[in-house]
Amino acid sequence: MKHELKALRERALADISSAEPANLKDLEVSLLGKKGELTSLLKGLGSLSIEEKKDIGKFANTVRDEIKLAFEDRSSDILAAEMAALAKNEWIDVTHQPLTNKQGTVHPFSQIMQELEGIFTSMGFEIFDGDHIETEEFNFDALNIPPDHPARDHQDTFWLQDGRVLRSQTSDTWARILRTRDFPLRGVSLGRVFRNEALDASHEHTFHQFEGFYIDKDVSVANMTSALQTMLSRIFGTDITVRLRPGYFPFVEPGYELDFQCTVCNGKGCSVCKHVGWIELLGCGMIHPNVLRMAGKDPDQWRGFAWGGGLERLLMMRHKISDIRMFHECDIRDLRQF
Amino acid sequence: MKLSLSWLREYVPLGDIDSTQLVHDITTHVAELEGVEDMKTTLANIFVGKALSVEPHPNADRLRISQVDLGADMGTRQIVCGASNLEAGQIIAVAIEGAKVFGGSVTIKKTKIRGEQSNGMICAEDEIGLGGDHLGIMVLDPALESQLGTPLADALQLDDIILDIDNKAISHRPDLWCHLGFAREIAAIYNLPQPQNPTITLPTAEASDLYSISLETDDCLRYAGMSVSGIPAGLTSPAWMQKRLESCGIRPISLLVDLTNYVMLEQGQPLHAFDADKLSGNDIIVRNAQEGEKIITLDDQERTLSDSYVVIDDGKDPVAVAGVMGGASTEIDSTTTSVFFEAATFKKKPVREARIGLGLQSESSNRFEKGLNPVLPSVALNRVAELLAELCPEATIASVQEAHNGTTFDEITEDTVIVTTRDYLAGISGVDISSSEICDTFAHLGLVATGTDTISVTIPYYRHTDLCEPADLAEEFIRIYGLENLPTVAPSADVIAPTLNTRRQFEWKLRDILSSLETHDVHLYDFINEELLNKCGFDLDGIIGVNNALTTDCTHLSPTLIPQLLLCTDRNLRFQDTISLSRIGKVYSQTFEKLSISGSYSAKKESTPYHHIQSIVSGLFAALNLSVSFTPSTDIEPLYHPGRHATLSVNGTTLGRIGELHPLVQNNLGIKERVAIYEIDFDLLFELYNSLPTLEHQSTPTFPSVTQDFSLLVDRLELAENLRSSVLSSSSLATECTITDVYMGEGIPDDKKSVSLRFTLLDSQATLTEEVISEARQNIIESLQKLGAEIRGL
Repeated sequence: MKHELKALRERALADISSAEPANLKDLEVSLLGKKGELTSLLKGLGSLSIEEKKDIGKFANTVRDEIKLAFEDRSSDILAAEMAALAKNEWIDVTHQPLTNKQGTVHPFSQIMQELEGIFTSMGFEIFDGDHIETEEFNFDALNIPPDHPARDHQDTFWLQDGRVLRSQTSDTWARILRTRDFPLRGVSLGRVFRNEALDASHEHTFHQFEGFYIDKDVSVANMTSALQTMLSRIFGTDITVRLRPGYFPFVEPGYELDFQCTVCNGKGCSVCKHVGWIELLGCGMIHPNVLRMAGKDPDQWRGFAWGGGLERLLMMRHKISDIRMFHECDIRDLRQF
Repeated sequence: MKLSLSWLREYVPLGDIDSTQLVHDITTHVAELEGVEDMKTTLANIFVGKALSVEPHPNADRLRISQVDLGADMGTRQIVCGASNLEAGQIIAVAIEGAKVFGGSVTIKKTKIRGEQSNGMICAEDEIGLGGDHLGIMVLDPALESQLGTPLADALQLDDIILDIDNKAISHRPDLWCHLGFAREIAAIYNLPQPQNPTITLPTAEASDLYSISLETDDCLRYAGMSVSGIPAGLTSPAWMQKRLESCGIRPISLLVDLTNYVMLEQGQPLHAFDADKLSGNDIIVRNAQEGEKIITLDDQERTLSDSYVVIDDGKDPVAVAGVMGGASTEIDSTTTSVFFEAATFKKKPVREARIGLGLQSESSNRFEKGLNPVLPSVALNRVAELLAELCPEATIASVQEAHNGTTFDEITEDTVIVTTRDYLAGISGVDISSSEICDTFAHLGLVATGTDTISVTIPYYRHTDLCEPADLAEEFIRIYGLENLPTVAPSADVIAPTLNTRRQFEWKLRDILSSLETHDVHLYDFINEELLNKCGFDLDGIIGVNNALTTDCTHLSPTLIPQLLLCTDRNLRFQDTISLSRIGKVYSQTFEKLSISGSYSAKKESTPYHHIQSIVSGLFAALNLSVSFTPSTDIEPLYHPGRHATLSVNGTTLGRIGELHPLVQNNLGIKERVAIYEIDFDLLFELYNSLPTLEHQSTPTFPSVTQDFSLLVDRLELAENLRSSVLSSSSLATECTITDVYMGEGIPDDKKSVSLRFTLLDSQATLTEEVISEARQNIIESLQKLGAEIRGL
């Protein structure tokens, strides 16, 4: 019997080592299963003496263990071979995209407003917004632009049938906020404004401004320059050099135009800055005492600076957009680029 | 406004100054410039030369070779020229290497033309910006032969520099609308002596009562007139005056007219000259126009006037629209020998109204609209008298008269004083500076400032309109001190955490969600016009209109975002198969302005786009943790398809509507595909979102659930929502129910539909037993049967 066991062992080990992966499980059942060869061979044990039983039994267990081990070895070899062949056997074309990407887009106006609001908030400014339909009082008078003031003609205003206007600047928001809020106060309003103009590549009747103010006890022009320089450096993501020039806006006194040094040529002059070295960006100045007075605040006690600029200008400069009409055209082929 | 630098130099000793530096300094101290014309720079490297010989070019029929004499220093050069009018002996303009021609676009170099050396270019007028003539080369005055080799600009005395000031930048400074005013500024920038102030009394005359001047309106502060007789007819102004006028963009006409313009450009006071013989009598009445009154103006146009304008009346007819334009009936012509010069101070408003109403902008109206000082008429008439004495000594000043409203002449010429402090000026500028330095800075401008802690600044009459309070002085101090000298100092403020604008943040959140739902966030116009409103089924009731729209697209404000979304969809459908847009924007009526969230979906050949837009809307609400209900609507809404239209609500609060676009509107707009749309009230949604209680976490059930499917036959019009709620309400164990399929058509009766429905049973406290499941199932069956459902396979 021992002899038969030995023969079984030899045959089994040879079969296992050459078994195909698909047959391995069947082979294991046929050798070691309840009705397998080893089990049936050992059924003959009953006719043997106790001594022989002991001896053969022990030997049979060794054979069983050896066969089991051979199976384990064989399956781990097979697994290793399969894993090694994965790259070839399960290759797919990873450049092919059968499922199309339908991600929507966020309009550049939305993106930049959200971005600026984040920057202003981080600098301690509160974000305000206001209505588009504004009274003559807040669009003009409260901003120190009385009815016969020439500045009224600088802005071609849309007048509504009920005598109100479409706001021609976001400054109306702070004219309102100044009345209702206590000082010190720092705020920014971003939004849509309207000018009654015919459309072309550089003129829009609907555009966007970002406008802010900073009111405290001892605020200076020097503070304004510093704050605006910091703000613009954050917006452009690089250190920005600014300069002030006299500029006229009825709601500030002194009033300035703020230029920043061309970041393309560092002020040497290039086609981007029209060879001047500087690019005009904002209007700014110290809030006119009349504006504070009209808001019921004491200009001897409080001072502030304010600024305003166009979002289109920022975006067109940043992304080299040549036609302002692109923004409201909303061709998806344009929007997908942002 | 154009200024001549040579004219400015009469008032301020500028010395040798580089025009680039001057432009920079004016820009950084006074006002922006629109441009600068510097003929000397434009004509650099162009010289006076003489064509010594003109010979044919051996290799080109149309070209000729000239030997050109450029004087002793530069000698003779060979130049190839194509002009047919070139002849030997002509005095010509020669551009040599480095010269820029054709508006700066071409730089001259030594070169070979068809094999022959050419060392320059013989210029035509238009090639060097001296006129439009390109008939041939420019042939100069033979007298210039003595100046061969002289720069052309010098030889032609084109040495002036013209500064073009941006009018908008000086609209608050009436004093700057003339050469004298700018000379004061330039003197201040370079700390040069201030120009002498002009005489501010009226000129003297033989008589003072030739005319009876009456001011019948408050809109004229002062009216001064000077009548001059004995002028020889047909006089023209001298060449120097014509050149200055032309430099400043004014066409010379005759001595008398040119005088008025010259004095205006010099002193800032517009004048008008009437032919005295054409005035009907001796009355000069300044009054408001009568509504509908007519006058023929100098440009021979008949103008209809409004009562907000002021006219000058000669006792019979209006003879001028005050501050805007004179009348044709009293125009100066070649026979004029006596003149009535008018110099008046009209208020801003009537001039502005007349300018807008008549569409007549003039040099005169530009100045009056800024608010002129009543002293100026005296200054101007004095200057006219002075120039007349020089240019037309035969003329006699017959009378000088004036009338004024309210304030006396002495009062208006009085200096005013503004009191400020050193601390204020140092504080607002951020410059640590002494009182004496401050006073010195004001002195640059001719403002007398005195004091130490308290500083008193005396304001001359010509700055009365714009220097009114300390803030105005701060502006003057800072710009003359020099903006480039100002420090940059970070504000030293307390840290304030700004209140967050949660409404605005909600808006950004929505835009982000919508873009993740495969829609494009768009910004479109708020405008609409009557035609588009009508096409969308709206009339003008309650719509707010624009009074003065320049373009026909902007006549009204839209009460809904949908029409512009539809136009945008239509534009995009030309290039896209699917177009899904969303917009958060304002909608308007006569009673409201509010934010709306709206969207549209359209795809080629999609017959039921409703379900796409529905998934976007439910996705939006799900992202906000809100559960939205779609309730069929029978409201008549012109934009919405009557059978595919629902209201949107959350927990019973209606927030908006959703549906497909009414095919009639689609047809009116010519959109090829069906479109689905929705509109949600932003603030209602924001309010609802804000009122959500803080979310409380529910433990995930540990017991297994059971999912079962039913197939039903129900009435065709039975709502999916009713079936769902019927299942969910019939058993407390039913936690989810979805409609997996709906079928209508073959094999199903016409008034029925087949619905597949899947529900989940779950007990969060125990494992479901067969009995419990069967009981729940029975309840669900009964509940569905109450709706008339026939459950198949039961």
